[in-house]
Amino acid sequence: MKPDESLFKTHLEEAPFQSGADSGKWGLHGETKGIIWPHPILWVRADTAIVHAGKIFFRFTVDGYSAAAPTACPWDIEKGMRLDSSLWPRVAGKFARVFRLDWNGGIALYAPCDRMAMPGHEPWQQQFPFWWWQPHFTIVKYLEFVHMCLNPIRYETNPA
Amino acid sequence: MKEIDIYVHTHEGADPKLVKAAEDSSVQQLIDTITAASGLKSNPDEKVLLFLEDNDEPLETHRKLSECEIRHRHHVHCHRCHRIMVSVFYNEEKHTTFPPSAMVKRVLKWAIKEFKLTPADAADKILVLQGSAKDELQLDAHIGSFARPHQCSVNLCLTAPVEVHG
Repeated sequence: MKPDESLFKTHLEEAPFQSGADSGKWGLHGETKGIIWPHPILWVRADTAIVHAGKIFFRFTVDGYSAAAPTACPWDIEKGMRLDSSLWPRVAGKFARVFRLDWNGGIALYAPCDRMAMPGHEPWQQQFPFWWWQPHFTIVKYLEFVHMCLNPIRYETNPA
Repeated sequence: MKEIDIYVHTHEGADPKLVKAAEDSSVQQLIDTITAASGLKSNPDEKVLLFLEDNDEPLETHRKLSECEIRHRHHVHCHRCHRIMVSVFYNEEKHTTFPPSAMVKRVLKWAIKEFKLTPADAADKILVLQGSAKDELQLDAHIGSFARPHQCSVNLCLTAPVEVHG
């Protein structure tokens, strides 16, 4: 097993990933030994107003992990192919463009932690320093970002 | 003797660590395990407290973990401070205290209410460490993880992220 695969699988066993998995925020589809490297499939919980099923799968590409940033594409787990555009999340607000379909053929997320989106968007490094991928990050950083986009906090009433 | 894994939060970063403990061990034994592996205790006489996640009062140290409802993969917080003074800046400053085990989402909800934000204004707000915009506080993190053990305070800013665009 190469170092990138070994490190990725180690991070899946560590507390930050496991904690999120235990609380239902995300998870690995299948077992660790079933990962077809470098394309693990993970899911992220989503507000049902954004993703009807309440969770969405992503096919990641993580070769060179974690020196290289991951990239991920919404995935149809039953058909084994890119999720149809009509089923992509419809996110409102400041992260609406993360799931844009009119960029790069709709094969990756328009995100400051995605390897496909980072080149050419260097200003994001200052605008999103918390999310701009760094080699010491783990896959949890990417999952946290996606989870945040898909689960906006709703305040239903005005404060007293 | 059954062994369980416990998510332990401390002042050493926002991410928890998994710590193994015997199910019938005491709170004090768990504290000793945690402090032996961290910089939490600079001398043997210092008192270190253990909280259940989001609980206001520390656990009694003579009690067994099972008596305190600490089960496999539950979250606890270990800290020297009983309360954390949290100051939040948003045009003006508001402050109150929370236990170290308070989740950031609880602090954020308090701040939203304290500053009387409308639901629309509140929707995209986040908390960051004052003077360090790159340190965005995740909702599941514990507020005690951002307070140094000898300070028992943390200064935050309520802000909104910029929009993702090209």
